[in-house]
Amino acid sequence: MIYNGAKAKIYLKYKGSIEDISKVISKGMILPEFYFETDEEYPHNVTSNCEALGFSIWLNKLTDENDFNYILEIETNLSLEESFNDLLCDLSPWLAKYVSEICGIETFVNI
Amino acid sequence: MLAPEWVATYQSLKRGTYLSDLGGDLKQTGVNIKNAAIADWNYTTKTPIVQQLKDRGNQLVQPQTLEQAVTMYIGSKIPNNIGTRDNLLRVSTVKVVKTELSRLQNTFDNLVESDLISKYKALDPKLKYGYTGSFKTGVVGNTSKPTFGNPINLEKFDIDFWIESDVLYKKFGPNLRADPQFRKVLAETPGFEGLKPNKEGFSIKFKPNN
Repeated sequence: MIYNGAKAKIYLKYKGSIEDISKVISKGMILPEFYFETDEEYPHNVTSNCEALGFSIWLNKLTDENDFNYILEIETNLSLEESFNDLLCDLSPWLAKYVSEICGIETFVNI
Repeated sequence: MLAPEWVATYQSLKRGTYLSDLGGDLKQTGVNIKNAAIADWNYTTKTPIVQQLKDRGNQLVQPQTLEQAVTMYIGSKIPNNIGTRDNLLRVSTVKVVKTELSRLQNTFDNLVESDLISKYKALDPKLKYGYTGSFKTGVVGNTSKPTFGNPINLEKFDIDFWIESDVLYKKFGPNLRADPQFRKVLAETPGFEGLKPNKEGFSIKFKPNN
């Protein structure tokens, strides 16, 4: 199977702020610093983003009731049709392993 | 040039007294703003650029232009009735920013039609789209930002584009999306040099239908 793009979505367990966890992930995965954006619309939720190697990378905080309280997603840019048609290679297991071993953060994948 | 109503509206919005200031003049003010906006739009889009440059040159050498400059300078040096000093240059700045912003919005609208929206319409022909934030209004309206209430800084700005579509929202979710192809188009378009780099400058947010 040949893919024209890839994606991943993993859940993270981390006691600390989104700024702190973003630094851990940036260092471990050798990424540029995440930047933080507040939604233009109320309630102005904070999301953090960065881009590397043609991927968009999103880090968001889930509600505190969740055992795994952060979600990290990546997806190749320029993959609009492939994404729409669910034709992206799912790298979630690999990403979970990488973040767990290199960043030292407990991860969870929903397959 | 923009009518004084725009400046008054901006000042009222910044003070947070917009609705009360409108009072009984609401209807007339609305009509004035609409007329000014239409006149400004018609002038910007229908007057040849050479003529616009001549008009601007004529305006610069008029005595009232010098008077305005002197008044603004003196006004900025005199304490006002609350003990601070007004930055009267702000009035002039708002006018210039609004005019330049209108021009950029016009260019942007054309680029969206020619270089962006068709690929998304191919996935959902019924989608709606637009943009919000300071690039739309001219003023930072996000209360969580330290620059709230300030005019847009065209030397460092972003464009918050949105696409309203149940189909695309279900597929792509709420994350802000990059569009590197369109970003490249913007980066190569004169006037957009102040757009922030990467997704900080241009992002797309998918929203469900209302």
